[in-house]
Amino acid sequence: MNSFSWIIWLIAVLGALSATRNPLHLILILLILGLMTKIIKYDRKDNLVPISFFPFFLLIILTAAVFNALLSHVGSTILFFIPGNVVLISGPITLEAIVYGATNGLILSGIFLSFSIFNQSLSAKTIIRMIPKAFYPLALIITIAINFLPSIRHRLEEIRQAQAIRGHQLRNIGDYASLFLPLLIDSLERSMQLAESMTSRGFVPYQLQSTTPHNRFVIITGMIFFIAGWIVQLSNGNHYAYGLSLLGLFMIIFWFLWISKQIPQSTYKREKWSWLDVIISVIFLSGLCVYIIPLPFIDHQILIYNAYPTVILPDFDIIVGCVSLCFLIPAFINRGPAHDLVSKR
Amino acid sequence: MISFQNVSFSYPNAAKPAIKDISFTIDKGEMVLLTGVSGSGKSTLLRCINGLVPHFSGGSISGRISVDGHEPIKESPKSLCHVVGFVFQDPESQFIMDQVEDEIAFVLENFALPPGEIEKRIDKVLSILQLKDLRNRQINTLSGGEQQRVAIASVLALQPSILVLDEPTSQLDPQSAESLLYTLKDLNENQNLTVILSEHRLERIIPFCDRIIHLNHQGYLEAQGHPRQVFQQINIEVPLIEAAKTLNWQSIPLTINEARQFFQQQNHPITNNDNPIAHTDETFPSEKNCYKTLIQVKNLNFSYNSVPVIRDINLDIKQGETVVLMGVNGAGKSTLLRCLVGLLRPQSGEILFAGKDIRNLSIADISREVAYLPQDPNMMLFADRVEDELWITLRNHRIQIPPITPQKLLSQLGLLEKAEQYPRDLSTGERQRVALGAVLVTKPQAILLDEPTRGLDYAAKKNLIELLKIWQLEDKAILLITHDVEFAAQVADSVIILDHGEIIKQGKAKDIFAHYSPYMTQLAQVFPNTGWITEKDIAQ
Repeated sequence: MNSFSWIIWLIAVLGALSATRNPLHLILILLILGLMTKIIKYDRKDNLVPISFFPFFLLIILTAAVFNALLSHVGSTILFFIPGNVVLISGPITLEAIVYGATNGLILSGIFLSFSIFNQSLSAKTIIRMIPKAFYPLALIITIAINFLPSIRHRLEEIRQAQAIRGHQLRNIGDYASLFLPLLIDSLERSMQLAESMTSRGFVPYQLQSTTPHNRFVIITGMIFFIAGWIVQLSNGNHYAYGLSLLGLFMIIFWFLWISKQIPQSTYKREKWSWLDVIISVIFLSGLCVYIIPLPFIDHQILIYNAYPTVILPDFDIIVGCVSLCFLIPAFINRGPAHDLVSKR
Repeated sequence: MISFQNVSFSYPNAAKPAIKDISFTIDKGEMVLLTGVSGSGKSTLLRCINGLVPHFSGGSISGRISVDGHEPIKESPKSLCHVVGFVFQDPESQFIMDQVEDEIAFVLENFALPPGEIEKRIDKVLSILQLKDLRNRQINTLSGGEQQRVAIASVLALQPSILVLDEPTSQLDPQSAESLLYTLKDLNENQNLTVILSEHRLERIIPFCDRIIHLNHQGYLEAQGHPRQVFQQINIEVPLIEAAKTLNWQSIPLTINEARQFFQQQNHPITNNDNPIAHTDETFPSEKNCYKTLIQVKNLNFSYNSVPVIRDINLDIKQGETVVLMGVNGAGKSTLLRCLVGLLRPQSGEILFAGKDIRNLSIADISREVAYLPQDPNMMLFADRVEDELWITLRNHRIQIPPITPQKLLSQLGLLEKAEQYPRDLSTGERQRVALGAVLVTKPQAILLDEPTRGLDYAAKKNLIELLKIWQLEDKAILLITHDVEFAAQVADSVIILDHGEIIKQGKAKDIFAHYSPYMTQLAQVFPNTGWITEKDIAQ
């Protein structure tokens, strides 16, 4: 699948996750993402996140639920009271606060899982290519960080074993110092080696020349339009203000592309759009539209579920549920490393 | 091609210069070996060639350097990268991308070469370095030797006329190292590339190089010239050269074939029956038989993700016995050692220590009696002082009265003077001894060492041999992994060779190193049927 189709997929999933607070729909999206992790053929063989997802998400959801229950005492279904005068904590613990917090946890888990799938499905080089050249040093840092993660995980395990054979046991927080200090020192040493290697191969971050009045005008106007549109929409709810923000956004993107041309750098392989990529990108965008645009055949009140003031069982919209299945498409069409699918030049 | 004139360099805040008054020239198309003990300034000198020193390192430099018309002292590494390709010791730490092709393309894209040209250059370097099949592979799935080739390919893509390599074979097993050296020689001869490399294990590299530049421990150039001339001037314990000196040969042999010819010219037939060492050897194992077995492994099997790594291993290690474990990378050697100290739990089989099943013991309990030194001692070191590293182990084990005082142990390890120093500031060999101190301070009965000679110079290796002999006399059971056949021949009582997790050969060190061809020492190859495997055998 084309990298830009992947970006559209990510935007669609993130959009869907932020457009609904209905626990049933959130669970469905999580299940879809979980299923993807099982059947998709990743481009990257290394597991970037050294955890198993299910217990991790359970922890996130529980933490979010407990945290919200302790801090928010709103809701009509009181389960018990925390006595005393502890600031923020003392007061009634409500079922609504727990459900609201757990819903936050579901959204956070979905965001984490979708980014994880995105990262593992694209090679480091592909991610770099998608970032405008004006941000190349930043993109490179991100790439190096992504590549470092598995090796850090591997080193941490080596250090744990090396300390274990000195009789080291993790009894208190201070004991973690013997794991993290060698890891920190080792990572710094490796960073220096990498910097030295990059320098010896002639890598020097390109300094942008001073910008001309024209491109200064474009970026400043673009930012003003973007912020002004946002403020107008927030103040009087005028949906046309989105258009102003969108215009500003286009001007900012145009500026980045313009500036990027200054940077003397070539691209060895460019990805080609196929008809399949176009079709599935349109499908992802349509899926997103179902979540965010008020369409006549969809009851958006189901998506805008709120646990407060009294928790009720959430409804489930079968059409939205079916549309959500489109997020599963990459699992069936990603045919292994994207590298083999791209055309030369 | 390369000329150094009275070059001296000091790192920032260093008390003394790293290299002093260095002068030499290297001609186009030469393959030059840079030698010297750890800390003699080899890496610094190599980094002067492409301007990493002083531009990346900082510090003060004097003298004049000229590299193919460029002046690295004045020009930046960027302007020199088209002339000098630099490959570092650890290939893993120099990669930016995760795929082979992307890694090679990275540098070319940075120089804004057109895509067609990039493709041509990638094709060319992949073909020269025989990496075509690995073009789309993830770098972290490659072997050490393959990774080192990718590192070379990524610098050769810029088409430099000089290739500089800092200890390129130090992380490789003997087979990969030899293959890499053949590749370098091929680049040198067929691509007319000037190659300069530093290395500690000289015996494998001497046959490939035209000239040697030797630095002494103070950073001065001590000798330079053809290897034969240099080895007459300096004292380095390379087996063939030591043998030649012991046997008073007129000329120093650089290859096994040369040594064989010299030996035949001497017309000095020696058979196994005449060899006093062979007789001693016959009696040696029976003496050891009187000691009790300390480590017993019975039908051990271990798998990673259902892939068998250790298959049905049986072995006994007695008190006072040194067993060497050998085999290619991935044969399961390190896994076996980790099983023995309880870091990995085998799927089946038994490991008995002094008759006790280790399954019932914690890692902490096992490590009190079985010291294990992993491949990279840096993973253990994090204290501010050398002595503190030993106290940390004692504290971990909650030992109030140490069986041996840290000062005494440091003295045995030759580190008493360094007790107050920051461990990571020490040389590779010294750091390894600090790590050894950290695992030996509980006075264990058995010692397991995983590739302890990696990155060590001859002096550090000699120290390690002395230590091993002391531990043998103290009746410690020693099991060590090494790729260094010459080192193993000096310390081993018996040898086990693993392949694909199975023991494929097991026997007395004298038999294996004298007769089993993949693991014969250089001297055994020169003096077949004599039983000679080390210089000591010849001297006796």
